[in-house]
Amino acid sequence: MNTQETNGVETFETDVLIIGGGVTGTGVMRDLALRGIHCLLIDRRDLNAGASGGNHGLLHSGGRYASQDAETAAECRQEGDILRRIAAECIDDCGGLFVAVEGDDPEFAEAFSGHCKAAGIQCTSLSPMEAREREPMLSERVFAAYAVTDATIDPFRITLGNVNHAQQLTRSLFLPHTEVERFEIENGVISSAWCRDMRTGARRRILARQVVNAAGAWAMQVAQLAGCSEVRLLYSKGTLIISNTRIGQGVINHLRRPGDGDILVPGGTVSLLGTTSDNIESLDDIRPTVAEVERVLNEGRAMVPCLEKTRFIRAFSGVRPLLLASGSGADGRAVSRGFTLFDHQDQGLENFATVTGGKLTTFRLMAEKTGDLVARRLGNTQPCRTATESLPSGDAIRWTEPGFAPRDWYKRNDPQDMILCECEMVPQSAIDSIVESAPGAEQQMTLQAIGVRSRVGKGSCQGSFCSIRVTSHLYDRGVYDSSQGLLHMRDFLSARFKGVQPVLWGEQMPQMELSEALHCSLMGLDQLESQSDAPDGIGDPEST
Amino acid sequence: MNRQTRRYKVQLAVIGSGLAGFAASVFALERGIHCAQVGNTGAIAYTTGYFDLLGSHQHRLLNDPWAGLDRLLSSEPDHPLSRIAKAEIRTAFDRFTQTLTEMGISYTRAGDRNLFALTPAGTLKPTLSVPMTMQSGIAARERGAKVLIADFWGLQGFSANEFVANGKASWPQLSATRLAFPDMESGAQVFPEVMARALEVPVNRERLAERLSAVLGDAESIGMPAIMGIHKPDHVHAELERLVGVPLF
Ligand SMILES: Cc1cc2nc3c(=O)[nH]c(=O)nc-3n(C[C@H](O)[C@H](O)[C@H](O)COP(=O)(O)OP(=O)(O)OC[C@H]3O[C@@H](n4cnc5c(N)ncnc54)[C@H](O)[C@@H]3O)c2cc1C
Repeated sequence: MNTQETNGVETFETDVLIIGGGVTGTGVMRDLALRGIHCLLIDRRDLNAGASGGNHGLLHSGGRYASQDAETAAECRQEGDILRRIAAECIDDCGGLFVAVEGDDPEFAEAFSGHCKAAGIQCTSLSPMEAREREPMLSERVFAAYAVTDATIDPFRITLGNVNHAQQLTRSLFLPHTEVERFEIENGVISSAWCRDMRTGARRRILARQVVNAAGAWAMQVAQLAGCSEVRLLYSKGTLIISNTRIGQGVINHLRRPGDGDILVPGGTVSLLGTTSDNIESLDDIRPTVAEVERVLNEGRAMVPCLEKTRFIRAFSGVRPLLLASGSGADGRAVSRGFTLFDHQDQGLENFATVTGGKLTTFRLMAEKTGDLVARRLGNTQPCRTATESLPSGDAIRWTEPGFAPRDWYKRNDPQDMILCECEMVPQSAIDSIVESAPGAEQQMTLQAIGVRSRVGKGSCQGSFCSIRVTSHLYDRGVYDSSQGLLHMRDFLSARFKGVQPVLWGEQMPQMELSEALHCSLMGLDQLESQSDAPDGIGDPEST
Repeated sequence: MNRQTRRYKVQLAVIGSGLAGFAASVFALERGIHCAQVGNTGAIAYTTGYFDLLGSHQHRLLNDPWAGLDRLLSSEPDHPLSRIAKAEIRTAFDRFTQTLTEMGISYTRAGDRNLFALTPAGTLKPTLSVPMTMQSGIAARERGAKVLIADFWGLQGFSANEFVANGKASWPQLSATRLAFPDMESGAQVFPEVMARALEVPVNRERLAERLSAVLGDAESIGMPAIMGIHKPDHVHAELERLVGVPLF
């Protein structure tokens, strides 16, 4: 790929520009790279900054959709099987249950196994007793239960793996904090994409033969930049909460029409309970609220009563891009979870495609369909290989896996390699490897970027201690050499606090009081900006 | 474990061993009230040891916290500080720091102005009273003196580089160095409590002082992480300063 500077604008050339660094965009990147095509992937923030970093991580058996959307259900089942083969390292094949409790509709429960069968989904009926043997914390009021082949999948591992592999195959590139702002269109062809570096404000120009819009919930906005109005999305916000320990062996689904708080998914050492589903108008400032957390908890308790006393460490939200076909209603849950690939041919564009909707579970299929279209347009005849070619692992992309860092640290047996994040046991060597070579690693990596690529800050202290230690370590390594490092730390903690704030009760409360004492009283982070206003450090020149 | 109930008969039980509990006990004892304090050490281990009154008001740093109190009273009449007379605050500060000083942990006396005290990250924090052991650092910054910041192999969470990177804009004469702590040279993790305890022993002070002197160069003063003693910090601090021959903080 060529990079050059003209009139102070950095210009990049590539075969395919992909907009959006979620599972879909990175999936397309790997798909195309496997066909020998060079890609440039951009994200306005970072990898998995959208729904791909704000979901349940459930690799759906399809059971959840069996009763309403047989097509999506069957897709989930097929893709689940493929991902188990090609990305086994990213999957915890923990199995799942669907349970109905007193008060739920018995007819809906009754019909479940028939619907599963129709979609080809394996489903075994269990007695309530058998279900509680598998998951002892289930409510005693369970009256119907089925075992399905749900699993969990680490979307961060997937994304990092996709980018890493594409980099190896065709030296494809990922640029973080780069937002597309404008397309230049000549004779039905996007000739260049104008972007802005969100951190420095610098403008970038990207010349690509094909452009793929994989901007998830933002895909409608990006399509509109190219003058395409046929991408119509409904934004459905979902909020989840994270417990500080793992509750349950496998996935537990509430066997009823999809509602709030009806899926409990283990994720390594923690569990995720969710989700809400509320239509929203704007994609700005998505954050979990106290009311949403309460709703999720109230509903979840019906299946698993111990949630009442569970300590939650954080909440988070994501936005599902749901495709609005003409005529479909406004209920987020009733809209199809299927995906659509727009070739924009009707809009007179030859080299633009949009792929959105869908699920994490079906990202590979979405990427395959998109890859087929783009390769054909480029005259590339290579077939898709993602269904058979395993996702390679690598040193710089393994740190999001719970338990990997401590195992690796133990094996190294180096007394000088100190643990920086004690909750998740992440040592200095892990941080060094991420800063050196993780996908999207940059000269001055932020704590948030490191967090996306590791388990730093994911434990019960939520970054209170490790943020200080990792920051010091990065200053020691010369990664930071100005007060910017502390600003990164403050931004990381503020972002964490958005998610911590709605679950502040019980034991998490003193934890955060301590955090405040550390970061504000001890380190003075709350005063950083006030200080930079008065560079000599002394504010308030005898004013008012 | 043998959990025996112990009974004490006192006039006042103070529950909680944070700063508020500690102050309550001090003031009670001054009045001749026989008291017992219960609680664990908790978060106090993570504090700076600085005593703040009012550092900022509506995102502005305050030079004069006493004038700041007037502004606080008008913007937030229900704030706890708005309910106490200034004179009372001043007396309380004085009596509390006086007691600590008598205990061998000397404090500066609360003045009319905030001090801009150093944080471990090299930023500044407005506060009213600081341990005497930190005093020379504040003074050195005000003079823009040539100062060396030392950190230690294996000590986490305090980086001299970080201190210098953040401080250098307003204090260009700062520089960083890294030392091995006596008998903790392997590069494996070391802990501040253990280092602080070690410095209570004269021979360790002498050995550390030698290492500090070796890197001193033409610096006027040396700053370090909070490891100067744990039981008798004033004494440890004074002894180290005597051995190195320059102010330490
Ligand atoms: C609460 C919730 C729970 C879910 N749970 C599950 C589940 O358990 N299992 C499952 O299979 N699916 C689940 N999903 C669905 C799944 O998360 C999404 O379908 C999937 O992550 C979408 O990925 P994506 O890459 O298409 O979009 P995203 O991950 O949203 O990526 C879009 C990216 O585009 C970037 N972008 C936007 N505008 C621009 C621009 N102008 N320039 C550059 N970049 C831009 C954004 O920053 C973002 O990173 C859930 C979704 C939600 C919201």
